[in-house]
Amino acid sequence: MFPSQIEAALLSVEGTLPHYQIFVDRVKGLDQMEVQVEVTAQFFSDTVGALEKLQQRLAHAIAQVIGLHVHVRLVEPHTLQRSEGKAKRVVDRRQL
Amino acid sequence: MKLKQLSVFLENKPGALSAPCRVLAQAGINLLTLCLADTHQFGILRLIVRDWEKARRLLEDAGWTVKLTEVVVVAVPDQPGGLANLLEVFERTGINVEYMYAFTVRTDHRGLLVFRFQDPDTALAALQTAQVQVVDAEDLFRRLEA
Repeated sequence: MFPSQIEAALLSVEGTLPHYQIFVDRVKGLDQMEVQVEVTAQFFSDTVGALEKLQQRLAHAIAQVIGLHVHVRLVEPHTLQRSEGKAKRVVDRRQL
Repeated sequence: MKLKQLSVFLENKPGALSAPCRVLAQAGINLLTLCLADTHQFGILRLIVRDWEKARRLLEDAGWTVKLTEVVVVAVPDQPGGLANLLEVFERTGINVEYMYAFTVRTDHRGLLVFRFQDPDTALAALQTAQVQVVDAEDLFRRLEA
C-alpha cells in the first residue's frame, strides 16, 4: 500500500486532491488506518447528508483502489500538519 | 425574498463552536439566529447575520470553510397549529424541506421560521400561491429591530 494509491482515490472523487493525511493506529492488536481529509469550500455542502455521502464516497474510492476498508474523517482546513518539501503523508500512532 | 445564510464546517470537538463566534463577536457582528447540525464527527453551523459578506470574509480569512446558501423566512401565527398548517402547504405541493430553524423573537404575534429548500424558487412560488407571509431581508431586519 502506497500513499500515492490513496491520493489517486481521493482525486477520483471530486476531481481535485484535498489536503489529507493517513494515520495508522493499533486497536486490540489490529492495525487500522484512518484517512483525514480537509473540507474545503469545494467539498463542502451545507447538509449533513451530503457530507456523510462525501465521506462514504471517499471511503469507497479508497477501498476500490487498495482493497481495504479505511475510516475517513472530515476535518477543518489547515488542521493537518504541513511540512516543507516532502509532505508527511503517513503518521504512525501505533505503540509497538 | 430569499435570505443569505452562512454555513460553517466545524469538527465536533471542544472549542470548535466558540472560535468562529468569537471572531464575529470581535468584529461586532450580531448573530440574528443560528442552527447547529451535528454528527459525532463534525457539525455545520448555520448563521443569519446582517452583514453576511463581512462575516463570510472574516471567517474565511481565519481559515474556516464557509458556504453561502439561500433560505426563506416565513412568518407564521404564534399559536398551536402555526407550523403544522404551513407544512401542509409543502406537503400538498411536494416540496421537501432540507432543514429548518427559528428566530427566538416574535413580531406581530407571529413566529419567524427559517427554511432551507432544495429548490427555494419553487418553494417561494408555492408559498405565494398559498398566501403565506414570506419575509425578505429588509423586512426581517426591521422586525428584529422593532
